[in-house]
Amino acid sequence: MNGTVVAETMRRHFSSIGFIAYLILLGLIGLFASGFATPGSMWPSLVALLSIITGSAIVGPEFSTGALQLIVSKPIRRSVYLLSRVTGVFACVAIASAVGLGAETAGRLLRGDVPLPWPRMTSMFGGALAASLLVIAMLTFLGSLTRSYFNAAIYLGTEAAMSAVQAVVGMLRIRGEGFGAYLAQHPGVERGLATVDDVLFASVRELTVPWLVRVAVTVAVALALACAAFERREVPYGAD
Amino acid sequence: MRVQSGGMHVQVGGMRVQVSGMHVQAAGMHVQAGDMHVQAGNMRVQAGDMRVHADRMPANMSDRGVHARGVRKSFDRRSVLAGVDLDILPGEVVGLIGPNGAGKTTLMSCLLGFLHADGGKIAFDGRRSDDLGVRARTGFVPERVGVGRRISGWHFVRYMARLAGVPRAEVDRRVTAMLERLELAGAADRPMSQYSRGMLQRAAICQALIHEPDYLFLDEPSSGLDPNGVLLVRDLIAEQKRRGAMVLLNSHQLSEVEKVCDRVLFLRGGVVARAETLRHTDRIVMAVRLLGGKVVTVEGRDDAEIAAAIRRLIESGTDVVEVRPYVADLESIFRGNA
Repeated sequence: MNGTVVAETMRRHFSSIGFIAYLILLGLIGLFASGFATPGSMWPSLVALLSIITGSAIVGPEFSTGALQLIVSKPIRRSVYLLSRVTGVFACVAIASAVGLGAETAGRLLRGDVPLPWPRMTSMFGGALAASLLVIAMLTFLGSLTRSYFNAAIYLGTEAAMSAVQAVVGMLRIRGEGFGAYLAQHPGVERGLATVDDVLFASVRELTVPWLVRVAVTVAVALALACAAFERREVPYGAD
Repeated sequence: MRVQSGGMHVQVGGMRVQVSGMHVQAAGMHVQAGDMHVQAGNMRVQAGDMRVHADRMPANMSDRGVHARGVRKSFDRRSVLAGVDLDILPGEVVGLIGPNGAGKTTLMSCLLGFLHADGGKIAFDGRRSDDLGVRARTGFVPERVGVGRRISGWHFVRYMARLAGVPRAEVDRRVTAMLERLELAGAADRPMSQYSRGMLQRAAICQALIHEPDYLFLDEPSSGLDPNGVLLVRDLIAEQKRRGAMVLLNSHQLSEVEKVCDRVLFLRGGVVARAETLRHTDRIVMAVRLLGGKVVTVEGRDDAEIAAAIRRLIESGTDVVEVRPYVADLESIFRGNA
């Protein structure tokens, strides 16, 4: 890990008006959601969205603008640079998540909601962090293979396609004719699709150990593949 | 005195003059001259359609300096580099010239490790280009700098300096000094999105030089610079040379290449089509204009040898009109090889 890259990544985010505005929005929504009966019901989704926005820019745009050539000419391993960027972005998302949790906690305290529903709130906080890390790792892997913001396009496109395929498969099974009959006899097909969707595109949920382990494994594999691809990738200089 | 025509040969004392189709090979050096060659002891005079195939002894890959042997690179089966040899020695500035598509940028990318060469060897003081120790001693100025829009010039140079290994305790002082040297101090706090092309180029030069690299790669460093900036770049290259750095300059500005480079490699069709020494570190080269307009060059280890050679030329009956330091005419070379 390279502290300079982590610090610079965080500095860039916290000097961005857009990022600061997003933090303020998260805080306001956390306050608003503190009136809901279910703790941690809104801001975790916004944290996941933030991880897509920030994670998509980890390496692709630098590749396109030509900034990456300056980086790789410096004495830093490419994989170290990549993982340091991931760490910096994840730290920013974690701080955003803490803002959401803090705002909801403050709101509940102001409303006299005592005792605070800590188990559910901390579980949602951990779930948001884990899901965000998964999103960032997937976007980093896709970014190590593509340019610009194509990683986000591929990620969102694949996620939408997976949802659509599952919906179509479900409808076919309910109709029960032709391929639908086959699906009804083989429920493993639908379960497999759901598992792939869940492994690659985890949604924010309460923490459970099996889910956390699955996320950790997927993150580790995605980042290992990203590092391998980025180490071998050619970086011809000149912008797009 | 002996005179031969059809490959004319004139000899006066220890001096020989040969005209047309001459070919000399000695100690790994290969010189061909279409017109005229004068030799006296360690002194040589040559002119006309001179062609130097290799102007130094082939270096070992483990020797000090940047060495490349037989570097090949293809894109989609199209060969861009077809076996390039290159040597840059400490304190030497080598220019890379050639027409568009000749492979200059590809060669620089292979040397810097941005691209993986399909074949051949590249060594920096005997080490691979992807060695972190080599990269810590490498500076690179791209033709165009692409950076985040919000980052200020000061932060950009500081970030690059830290990545290059400049110690935390020194970095702020060095960044400030370098920005002042490149006349960017007044704009240091401004976002780089507000910088002009020339200011971006100055920032790029700052980040390349701040860690005092031993290997310096410059891709059109003067592009977008005003005349003051061009002069500044010229001074900075001279400083790096004095410091002992090895500099590779890729530029289309032949006048700039002429002014700062010791040697020039003319790349064409993915190979070094011609190598020209502009400045010799071990000898003096003078251009002598003869009556009738013909120009010959006189080489000597010191002024005394040059004076003796010119005296012998005059005593042999040659009408000498002008003697001045020899500078290769890159424009003619470019026109002749493009």
